[in-house]
Amino acid sequence: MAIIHGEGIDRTDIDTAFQHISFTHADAEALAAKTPVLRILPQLNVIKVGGQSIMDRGRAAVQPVLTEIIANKDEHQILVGVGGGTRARHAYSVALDLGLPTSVLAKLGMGVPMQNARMLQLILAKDGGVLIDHDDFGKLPLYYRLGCVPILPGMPPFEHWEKPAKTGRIPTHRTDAGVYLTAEVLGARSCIFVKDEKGLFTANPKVDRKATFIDRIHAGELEERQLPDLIIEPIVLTYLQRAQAVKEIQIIDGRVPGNLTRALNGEHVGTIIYA
Amino acid sequence: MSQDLVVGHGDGRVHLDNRLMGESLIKIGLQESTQIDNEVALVPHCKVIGVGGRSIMDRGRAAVLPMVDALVEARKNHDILVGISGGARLRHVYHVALDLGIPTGGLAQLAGASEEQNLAMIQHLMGRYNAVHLKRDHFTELPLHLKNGMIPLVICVPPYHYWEPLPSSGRLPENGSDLGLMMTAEAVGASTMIFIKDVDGLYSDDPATNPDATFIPRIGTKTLMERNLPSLVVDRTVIETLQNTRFVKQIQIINGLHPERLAQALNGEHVGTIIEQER
Repeated sequence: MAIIHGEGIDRTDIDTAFQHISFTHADAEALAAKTPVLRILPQLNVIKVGGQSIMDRGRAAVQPVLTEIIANKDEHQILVGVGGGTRARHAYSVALDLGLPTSVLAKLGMGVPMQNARMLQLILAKDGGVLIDHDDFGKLPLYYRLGCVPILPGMPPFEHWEKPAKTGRIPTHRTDAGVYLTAEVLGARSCIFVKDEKGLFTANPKVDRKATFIDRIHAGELEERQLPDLIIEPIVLTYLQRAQAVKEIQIIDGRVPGNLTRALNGEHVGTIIYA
Repeated sequence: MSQDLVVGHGDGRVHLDNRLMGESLIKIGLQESTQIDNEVALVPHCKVIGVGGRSIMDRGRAAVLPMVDALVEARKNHDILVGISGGARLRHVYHVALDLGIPTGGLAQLAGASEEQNLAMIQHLMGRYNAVHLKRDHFTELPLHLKNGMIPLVICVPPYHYWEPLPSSGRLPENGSDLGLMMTAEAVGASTMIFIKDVDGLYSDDPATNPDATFIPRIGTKTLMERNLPSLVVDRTVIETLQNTRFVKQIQIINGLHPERLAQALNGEHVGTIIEQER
């Protein structure tokens, strides 16, 4: 790969496969398809602790989940991602009322998962809980060697750069998407969403008693069913179908003792969405 | 809009009562209910200009110095925000990283460095004309810089980092410098977004490799997507996102090897290709 010195107004260039093609060209995609993707941390298990479903329930729901995480941390590499919950919805609600755009809502969306992550870190500190952000990904191997449990706010750092949806102003990428993409980029072994329902239902079981449980479903089929409500952000279904590493997620009820341990051991205890 | 703390609806969760208190933000119809036509812009008088990495920076002083003069001249009449993009080094690092099997999010994490280098060079050249590096976490200081006659410079790539959304095919990040800067313009609430490249605008194919490529002076986003051209002068995601933007309703691509066109474009003249929102 040689440097090509440009005379006058000519470009100083580097002779690469990209030199004569633009990034939008199909040739670039063909090049990308040639190499198998690296799994950065293939033993990693990414666990999302729900904001509204777990954190907002306080000690009664949070402590058992953390106890199970600690009990499993020597057996499994665990990265904890945390959701927002009620305060995030409150901030969105005020911002919407003020006429603010998606970019501001996405910025606001970072604050509450960060508060939740800070709380979890304080509780887990004595057991090796460390708060991380994306700049700390390079230190994850060290944390696992030391027996730590890294904790990450689940919101992806898109902030002002969150693209506006076709209609409406609620950001498309929130903490489910952030946690899923974390697992995918790191090439994780599993991605488990700890919520307060058994898993996915045909409607919101908290308001619709006729909702029936779905124990396993393809992400594409789930998209097509256009359910009136969903336990996970829909964009996660899109990404599951594009994934190179993490091709299934499991949603479990964190209030049932043992569920998280069983899910970490590869058992099917909630809803599995796959692609 | 009063909002009260509600300790549980008898279900053990501590709630703040508000309109989004449904079980999820995903319920059909909820997103639509948040639609309004008059979202508030941050600094709508700001005009955003993107300086191409490959098209201007990599050409060195012969292209860069006249562009610097044009930017300094433009600042006298317009509040501008200038984005600097990567170029050959970005393509090179992507090539090496792809060959090493680095996933999409890892590639995205590499994109900023060559832009930071280009920005450092431009900032040094323009420091005497009040050019400053506006970092992402200092975004809220933009009004201060504009008020004081500064020329804020930003890098372009969006801060998606490891969370770069998975592309529909292949492994290259779809959200590059052009998309990032247009989203900066959207966040600012800018109505003017100009991309400076080294061609007159958009062609039916890459004019550098296809002599039969024809110039397209003006086109709508929907029409452009449907034409599915083999080569685009801006990221494809720019066109897709421009269909949904609330503030940036059109972009203009101009040829920076004719620096006088910058002032013309800032004054609203049509001197390159205009791509406009079409839904």
